[in-house]
Amino acid sequence: MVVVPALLADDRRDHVARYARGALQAADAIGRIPTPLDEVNAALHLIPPQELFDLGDAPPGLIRRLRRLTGKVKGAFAIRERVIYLDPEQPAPQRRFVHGHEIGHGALPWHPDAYYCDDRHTLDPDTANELEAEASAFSADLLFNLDTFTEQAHASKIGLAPAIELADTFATSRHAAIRRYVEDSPRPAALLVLGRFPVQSAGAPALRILHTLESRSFRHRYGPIEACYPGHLPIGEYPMARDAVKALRGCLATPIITGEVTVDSTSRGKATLDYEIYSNTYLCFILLTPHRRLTVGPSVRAAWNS
Amino acid sequence: MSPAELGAYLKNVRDTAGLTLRDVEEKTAGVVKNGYLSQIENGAINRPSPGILYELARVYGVSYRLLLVGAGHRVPEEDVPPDQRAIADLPLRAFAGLDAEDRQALIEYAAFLKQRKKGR
Repeated sequence: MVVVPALLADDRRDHVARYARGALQAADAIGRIPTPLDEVNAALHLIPPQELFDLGDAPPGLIRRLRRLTGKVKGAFAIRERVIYLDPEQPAPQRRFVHGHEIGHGALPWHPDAYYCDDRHTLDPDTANELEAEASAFSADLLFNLDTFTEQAHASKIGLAPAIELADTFATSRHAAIRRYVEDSPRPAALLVLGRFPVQSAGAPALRILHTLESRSFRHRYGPIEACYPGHLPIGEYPMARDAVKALRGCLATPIITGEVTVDSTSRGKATLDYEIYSNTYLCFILLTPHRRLTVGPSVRAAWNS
Repeated sequence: MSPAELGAYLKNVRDTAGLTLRDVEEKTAGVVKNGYLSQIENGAINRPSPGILYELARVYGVSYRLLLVGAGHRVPEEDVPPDQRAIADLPLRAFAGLDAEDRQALIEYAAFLKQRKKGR
């Protein structure tokens, strides 16, 4: 299967989270960081993961043809046999995410019959996308151990640093940690994920926006961020885009660059947002939060008043 | 059953079981809200998610597979382009973004795995 970003309606996320909690409880894994996926796998009576392309006794012609799939398929779940197959070549954090995703196909009880019934019917492609998103949401709930990551990450000032720092602790990719950080943020926050290479958009160089997401409170206050940034970020038009290019080229003095941007088309009109940019050199992440005005503490006010 | 008929079918099943909308909400631990179920039954929503259908099938004791087909989640194979069909029992997304040759290689691999399993 191919991992797709998990963007589900809140009620469906909650439904998936109930089963993720049940799976963690069954493995006595609530609060254990990083989440012991093999124990969750065993608690759900799934057969331990096998190598996706274990080709020891395969015909040579098949081995040759399967080589072209290297890197394209990361994992699969044989529903009737309850066997998970994982590509062992992928980086460990990605492998864990895919493992959690495939466990999701086995743990969410409405998945197996949706994927497979011997009835001359097949799964509707739109439904398949929705089920993939549910499996990815399930994986995130396992890896971030329900709310544990969010509680720890949001205990400090909002920004990308806490998410990046906690990614190693939770044995996830920074990408996944940043997504989780924004999606579950109790404070208004939005994320733009940009592609690595500039493309031409309307005759000008631009960075492609691969996907966007925002926290519930951001959506409530400003509407979906996608409405403000559809498709592309023109490099000539936005200083933020030029900062993103610098981040992607790895030519920043600090790993995270900050600035502010005025957005015209939020649901409440023009708004000033603060941004933080980080790049893992493959992708660029832009965190957007409400502009923080300089606040003056009581001791300073007292000094001014005296 | 077609998506247009799903709501009437579910209402009929619920009435036969003697359950109120609130009973169903309670029996599904709040997953199927009474207002939402009402919209399904009156046809305002004719494609509830598989998760919702699973919960309803469990409470009513009816076939989940039947509801999947009724809501259009499982469709006749001929209605889906060949490159988007699920194969064997592997999740469909295993094949997304793959060209015909990749797909054929995976089909052969799935068959090989089944054969190997039988031989053990």
